[in-house]
Amino acid sequence: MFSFSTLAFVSAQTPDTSVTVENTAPDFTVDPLETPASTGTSPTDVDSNVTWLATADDVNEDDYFLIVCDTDSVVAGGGTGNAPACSSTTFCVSSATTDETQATCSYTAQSGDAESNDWFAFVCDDVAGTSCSTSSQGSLSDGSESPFKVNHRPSFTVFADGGDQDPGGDFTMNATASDPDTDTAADTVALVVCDSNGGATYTGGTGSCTGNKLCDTSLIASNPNCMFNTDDLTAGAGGIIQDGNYTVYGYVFDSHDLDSGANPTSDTVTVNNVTPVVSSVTLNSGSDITLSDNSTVNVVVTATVTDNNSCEDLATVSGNVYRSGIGLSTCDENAEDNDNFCYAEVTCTISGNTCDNATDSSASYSCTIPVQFHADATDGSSTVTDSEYPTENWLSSVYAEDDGANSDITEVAAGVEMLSLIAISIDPAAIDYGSLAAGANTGATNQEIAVFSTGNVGIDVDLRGTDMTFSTFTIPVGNQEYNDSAFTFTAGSDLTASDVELELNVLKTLLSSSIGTESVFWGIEIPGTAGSGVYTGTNFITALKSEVADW
Amino acid sequence: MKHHLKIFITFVATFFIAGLMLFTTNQNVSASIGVAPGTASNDVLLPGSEYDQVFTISRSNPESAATATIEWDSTIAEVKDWIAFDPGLRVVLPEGETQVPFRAKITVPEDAQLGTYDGIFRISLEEPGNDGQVVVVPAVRIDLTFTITNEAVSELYVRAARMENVKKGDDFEVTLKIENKGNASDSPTEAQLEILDLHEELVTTLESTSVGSVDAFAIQDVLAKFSSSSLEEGEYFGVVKVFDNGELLFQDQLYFKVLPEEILPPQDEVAAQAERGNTTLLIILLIILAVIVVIVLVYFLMKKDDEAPGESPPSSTPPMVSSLNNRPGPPSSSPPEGTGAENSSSESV
Repeated sequence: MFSFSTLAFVSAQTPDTSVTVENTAPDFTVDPLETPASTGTSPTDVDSNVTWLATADDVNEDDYFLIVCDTDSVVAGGGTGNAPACSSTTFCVSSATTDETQATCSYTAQSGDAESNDWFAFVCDDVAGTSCSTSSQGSLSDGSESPFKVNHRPSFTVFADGGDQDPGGDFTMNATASDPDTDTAADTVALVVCDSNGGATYTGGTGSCTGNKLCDTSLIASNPNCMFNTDDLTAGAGGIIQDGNYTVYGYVFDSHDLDSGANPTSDTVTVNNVTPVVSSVTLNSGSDITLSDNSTVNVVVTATVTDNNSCEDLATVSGNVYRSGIGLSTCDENAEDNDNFCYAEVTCTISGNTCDNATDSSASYSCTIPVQFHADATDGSSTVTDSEYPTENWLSSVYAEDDGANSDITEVAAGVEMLSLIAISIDPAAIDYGSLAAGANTGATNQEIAVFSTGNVGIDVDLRGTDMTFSTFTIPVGNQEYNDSAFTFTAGSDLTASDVELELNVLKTLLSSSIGTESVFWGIEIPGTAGSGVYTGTNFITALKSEVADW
Repeated sequence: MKHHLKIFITFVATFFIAGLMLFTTNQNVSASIGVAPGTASNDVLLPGSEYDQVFTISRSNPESAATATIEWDSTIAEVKDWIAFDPGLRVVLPEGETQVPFRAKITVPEDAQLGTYDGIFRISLEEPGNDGQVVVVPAVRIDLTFTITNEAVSELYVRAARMENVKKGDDFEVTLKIENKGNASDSPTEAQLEILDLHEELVTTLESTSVGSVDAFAIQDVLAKFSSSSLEEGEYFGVVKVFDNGELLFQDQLYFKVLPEEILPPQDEVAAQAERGNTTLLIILLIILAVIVVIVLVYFLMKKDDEAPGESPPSSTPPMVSSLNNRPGPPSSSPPEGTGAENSSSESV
């Protein structure tokens, strides 16, 4: 029962009024969207970000979080400062954002992501007793709505060339490459080949390299390949390139210009060592060879040698000169030398067109060959009277070898004649009969004149002389006698004032150290009426070509 | 001056005489001579034609100058007049020259009878210093045979080809060294030039627009011309083929370059040319300076000799004359007694 006494103790008081306003989840005022839109035609590359924007309004004016999940389920954070989390995968969650201001968060696409990924965005307030909105998958139809698309990197497993090439050849570079993405349209791949590993890009259907681009392809379904010339390796040196290995780098891109994780992959291409080419071979400038009495003449052989690996590749250039009946194959080594018909392996030196650098292909060479006076004659038309080899001529060849032992040998296009040289040397060049009494003769004592064949033919001799005179006295020319061997006076042949042939048959010289020689022996008879004194006269020994059979 | 001149003359004369004695008393020297070719013939000469044959005289020991004498002989008298020798019947063989050419020119009269003619010429050596009882002269005999015919003969032999570098856009020229063994002026009918790249791949083939002709019996360089093509700058091979009435006479592979249209000498070559010019000028100046120095030295030597030792130079002022009575008399024209040899001429021979 309510009493006054109880009531007497109740003073006048302000009654407390309160109401608990419950937390209300924020709502999207601007629906979430991807920026830029991640679509099938413009997906987000692996390792690139998908970014969402949204704006929410919280009636409680609480801060809020934007969270994007892969399922339509989110768990609120449970208190101030605690961000919400997705029940499954959280793509991203923003930081606490002031009410009615834009929130943003990003997700980095992973290689393990599917091509197409649904997303559900929520906004949750940042307050005790947090609560979240219902999900939104975006409300636009411009691709910024769910799902987001992931572009995966193309695979690139093998990069190989089609085989070694000669200078001027084309390398075919093959890539084993493909792209797994098929969403909307199957992705395609392209190959870019560079000469350095400094990087490459592929944009608008064309590749480019930090270094030099060797080749690139258009976009194809898989396994692209392209070709480049060896000339491209040397930046256009006219096809001249040193042999050896060169490293090239392959880069694969997909149709969204995304590079493969295997970029760059290198390959070593090999430029072959090719054979040099000998051309423009000459012999004595196309002129017949004129030998010189008992000595040598320098015969010059020239040629141009070209090597597509560069003239610096050349190791040996030598020249050969030989009679055509001997032939190139039997006069190309020093061991085959014979001064009568073969001069082999004479070193040539650069002359004129020099070898300037590694991109220079050619050089001109000159070989000077000292040919002996007894080299076989080839002129004339008769093997009886003219020479031993009138149907032949002399040829030259030039041999070139590079540092890889590749070689070429080329013979001159037209030969020249080795002219016959009739040459004679006599020793001594005077006859001294000594002192004889009038009426006496030299008897068995002869004066000997050695006759040498110092040309390339065998020789006989014509003999004639003049009277010997002293004051008004004369010893007639016929008082001198000669023979091709020692004789006793009267057994020789009388000398005359006209040439008379003596079949001396001096052999053709075969070795310059052993010159063909025979002797003419001389005697004299003094007329009985000759006055005393020193008589002088002149005899002529004229060399003529002997019968070839006697050479 | 006279004194020094006498010394100089004495020295030279002594040296000359000694040398002369050495050479003239040496009777045992060898002597040699050679002539090439040893065979000379032409069997297709036409009446009225000319034929040149070059011979070369050689000596293995050209330590002194000598002379070669040519004697030409034929069994047929009038043929002797058909041949002329250049430089003549005596050919100087200079000291140090191992080979000296001479030319035999045959001029066949228009009315020459057809047939074969032969002759001989001998080339003998005259060398100074050869002396003795019987001097033995070496000589060479060349037999010459030629045939007069009225038959036209055509025979070409291409001996060599060469090709110079060409500027882009210019016509191509190949120089052919051709020997005409026939008896009328002749030329190949055509030439062809296959142009290959350095990989010996065919680029283009050109036909000649003209080929030069060669005189009868001559060896001459003639040009085979080809119209320009659109070849780019670079290096090429040219395979030249020479034909005569369809017959392939000659084929060769040559190397050449197509050069840029404007070729300037490289700067280092220009500098090198300037340097060569400067070097030549410097040498000339040094020579002139040396000559001037010699002239000055000779002048002073001459001047010094004019002042004979012991004599005082002539006074530039007349002697003091104190009085007419004390004027010195003229110098004595005869040497004082007793001086004898001291006063003989100071110059000796």
